[in-house]
Amino acid sequence: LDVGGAKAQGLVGEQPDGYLGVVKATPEAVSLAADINAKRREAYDAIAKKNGTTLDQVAILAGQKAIEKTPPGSYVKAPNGQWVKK
Amino acid sequence: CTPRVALEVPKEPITINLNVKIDHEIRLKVEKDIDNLTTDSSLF
Amino acid sequence: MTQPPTPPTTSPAPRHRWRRWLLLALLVLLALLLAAAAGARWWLQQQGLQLQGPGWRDGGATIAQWQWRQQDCVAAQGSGLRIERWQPLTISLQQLKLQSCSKASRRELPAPPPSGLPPFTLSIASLQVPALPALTVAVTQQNERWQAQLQQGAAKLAIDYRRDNGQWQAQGTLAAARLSPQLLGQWQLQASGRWLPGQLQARVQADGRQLGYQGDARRGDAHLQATLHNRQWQLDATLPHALPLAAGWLLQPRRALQASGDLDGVHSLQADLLASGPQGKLQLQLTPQDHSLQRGSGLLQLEGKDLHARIPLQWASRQLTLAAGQARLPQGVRLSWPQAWQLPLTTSGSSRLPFRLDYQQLQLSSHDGTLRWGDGRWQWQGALALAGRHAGLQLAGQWRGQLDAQGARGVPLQLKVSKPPLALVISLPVNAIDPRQPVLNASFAGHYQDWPLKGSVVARQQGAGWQGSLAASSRPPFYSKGGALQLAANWRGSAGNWQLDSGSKLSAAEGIVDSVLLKPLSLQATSALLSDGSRAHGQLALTAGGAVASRWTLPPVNGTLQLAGERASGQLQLPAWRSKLQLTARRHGEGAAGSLQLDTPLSAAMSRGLGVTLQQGQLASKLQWQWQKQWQLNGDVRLSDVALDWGGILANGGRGRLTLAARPGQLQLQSDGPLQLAQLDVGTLLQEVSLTLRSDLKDWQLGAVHAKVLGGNLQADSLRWPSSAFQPVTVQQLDLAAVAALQNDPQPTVQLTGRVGGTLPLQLLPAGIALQDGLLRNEGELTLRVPTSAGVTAMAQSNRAVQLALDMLSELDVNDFQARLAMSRNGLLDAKVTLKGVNPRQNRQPVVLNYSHSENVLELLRSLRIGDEISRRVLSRKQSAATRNPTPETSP
Repeated sequence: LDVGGAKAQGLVGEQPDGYLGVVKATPEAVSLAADINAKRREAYDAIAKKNGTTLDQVAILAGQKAIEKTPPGSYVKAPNGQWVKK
Repeated sequence: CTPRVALEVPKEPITINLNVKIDHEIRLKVEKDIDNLTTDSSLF
Repeated sequence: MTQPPTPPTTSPAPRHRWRRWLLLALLVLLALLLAAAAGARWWLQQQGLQLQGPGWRDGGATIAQWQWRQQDCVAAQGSGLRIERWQPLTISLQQLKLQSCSKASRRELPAPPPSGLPPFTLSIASLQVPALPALTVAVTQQNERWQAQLQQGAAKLAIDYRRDNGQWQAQGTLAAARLSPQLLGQWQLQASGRWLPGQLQARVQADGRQLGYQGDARRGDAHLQATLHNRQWQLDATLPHALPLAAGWLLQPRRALQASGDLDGVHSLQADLLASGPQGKLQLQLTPQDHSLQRGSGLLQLEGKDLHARIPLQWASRQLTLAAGQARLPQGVRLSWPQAWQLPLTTSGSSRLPFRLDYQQLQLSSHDGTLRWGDGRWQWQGALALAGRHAGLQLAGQWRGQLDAQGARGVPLQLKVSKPPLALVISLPVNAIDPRQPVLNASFAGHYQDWPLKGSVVARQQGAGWQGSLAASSRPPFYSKGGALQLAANWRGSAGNWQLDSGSKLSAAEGIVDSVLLKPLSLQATSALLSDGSRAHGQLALTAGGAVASRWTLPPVNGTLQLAGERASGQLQLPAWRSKLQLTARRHGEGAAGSLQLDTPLSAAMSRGLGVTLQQGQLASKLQWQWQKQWQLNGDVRLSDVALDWGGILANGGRGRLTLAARPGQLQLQSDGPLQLAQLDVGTLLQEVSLTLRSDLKDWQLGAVHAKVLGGNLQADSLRWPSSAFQPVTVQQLDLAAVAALQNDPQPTVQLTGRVGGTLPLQLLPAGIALQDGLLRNEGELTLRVPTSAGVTAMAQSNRAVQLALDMLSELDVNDFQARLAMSRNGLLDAKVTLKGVNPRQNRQPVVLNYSHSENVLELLRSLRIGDEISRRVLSRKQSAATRNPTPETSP
């Protein structure tokens, strides 16, 4: 199960905070989200250090970008916290 | 020694105005890094 | 008795002629003999006598089989008849079977044997008479005097009868054991009377000596008198002493029975038996209503400490009827039967016995149950229904099948047990249960609240208690997926103290709870778990695979738990994080309370869910928890040697002590003593940071804030974040050289020395800091130098005024420095600086410098951090290169 597949199956979706959220909680979806988010955090931390900013600020910027790039039909989390299909 | 008094005309202070403005353009860099990252299909 | 046949005789004859005569005589004799034999046979057949296999053996006539019929009813049947001697007549009989053929309703007196018989001796090896075991009999008769010896094992009866005057007497002994193996004692019989054709008188005295019952030391006697006068008889039985019966019961001494009647029936009968035993007394009175004992009524009374019944009974035409009624039995059990019980008085039969057993609030009833008995065996068949409440449980059960001495056969017993929120259906197969060592194997299904329950229990008797195994499965409702719960345990015990054997194990499979993936966990008893039903004692081992959530993970946890009735304690470790947890718990009013002690190093692995990365540190926390409808937590947290990074911002040397008070939706943190950071690098280095803190994670109140920065120090009595108010922060002794160094310019155009200080009113916003009316003044003499450099000389040549200015500023002693500062929340700083000083080189020409500086400080600090980061990376790459190929390197 990879990110693309999970998104296509509506298991996970992008969140404004820059991390992958679980839409349908199955063991595979949660494990995938945990693994991906750990790797994203490392990447954000590297960028933050490189640019003297904080991890959260990088994550938020990444979140906006990821939501923009989400293909229609996949889930994204709206500001009010609800999962909506793009 | 012979004291010598010199009457100095009180000097008018010279006023210098100096304005410095510094700009930092490092914001763009972060977005480029993030752009590259979000195209990495294994994470996004 | 039967008439034996008369034997033929032979005589010698003269030679020749006489040989023919002899032959003729023999022929005639033979013919006569045959005729006699045929005649005898014919005669005998007329008498209903059939003979088979007549023969002759060593001097005696034998008849293999014979039968005597009276109108095709076999009255007597014998085999192995042998006439031993003719004078006196001695007959021996292997077997004689007598049957009563009398159909007549009116019984006649038995006729005495005929008189005038030749003397003879008759011995019968096995005489079978209805209702008696086989007897051996020896009868001799000589001139009208009959003597008979009847014997059955050790029991003997001698009869002496004079046919001429009819006088007879008899005496005998009978061991009680012959009547029934458990009975003890001897019966002695004395009888005498007169027996002549049409006349029979008898007086019988039977005395029971030392009668008793096996296993009971007590013994008693009994007397039975009976008289017969032709057709009238009279019977009287009395018990002078108590007569032991089975199971510790005793027949009380009294006149137990009087009866009288004639050969056809009983005219009067008074039975009054009283038995007393450990459970109480039982009294049976019977009074027949007609002669033939065919009808009668009586009363069965049970009387005792916890035994009470009055059961009127009747019997008629060989059927006993117990009137509908009830009986109170021991342990408060009440047996009742709504309809009369009809019991056939036959050795084998069946009877429908509807009944109801009440025990406290439980009822066991059967409507169609029938009892069948015959040839020493009994069987009950029907349906049982159980209903009611017991020990707080609502019970409803039913069963249908057969019950006999070998056990039960039928459908599995179904029992519904419910005590909200528990509801179970228990099914217990009964077929394979051996009543001597019962092994029960029940399966159950149901739920407790919304936990499904399913499983099976095996139980077998073990001394006074029971033991067996238990396998159960369930699924906690809060698992949205997976989380199947399995319990496998061996148990033993009896009411009030139960034990789960060591090794019993409860395990939960992997599953999702609130979209957190809980890895498999198991709880195994490492010692026997003892319980009195409400509290438990014992040792358990916990192993859990940890948990995974989208933003954090918990590594595997293992440890031990100790249960001690009202109290419990546990020691848990998270090896991956090298964390140690000590738990204690005790029952506290409705809920529970206890302590929690956490000791763990801080590591990056723990910070996955945080925006901050914990590089190192040690956390030690002692908390008290309480759970009473909702949870509550308070205690203290001690941090030491903490280093963390917040993206580009680094901090280390953190330590301090916080007190914590938390309940659902509310958290209160308060520093206990100053929290300290050795270094905080925000781009410029803050050192020896110290502050006190009060926060609920939303609103942060800092106090006694101190820090060393830019060569001076910073101080604020109290700061609140977030707040829109401008809160004063005072700075002192800031070294202008350090401030200038912020430009990070290797050849700074301006060199400044001296100290400045003042107050900076800060607005601490959620997402930024703003500054308004900040004022810095010089603290003591400042100096300004603009050293000549290529840049400076280039600027000087461009414009005369600039050159004049640069000349003036080349060297300045400043005695009045004022900086007015303002910064917007996005970091844009506007500084308005006025310097008043004199140029010592231009003979102290007074100069006033109005210098305005506009720069984004946050960007500045970020660029400084980027600079630090790059230098750190270069440094670390150099170090790792050094360690990889350690070539000697001269220090720069």
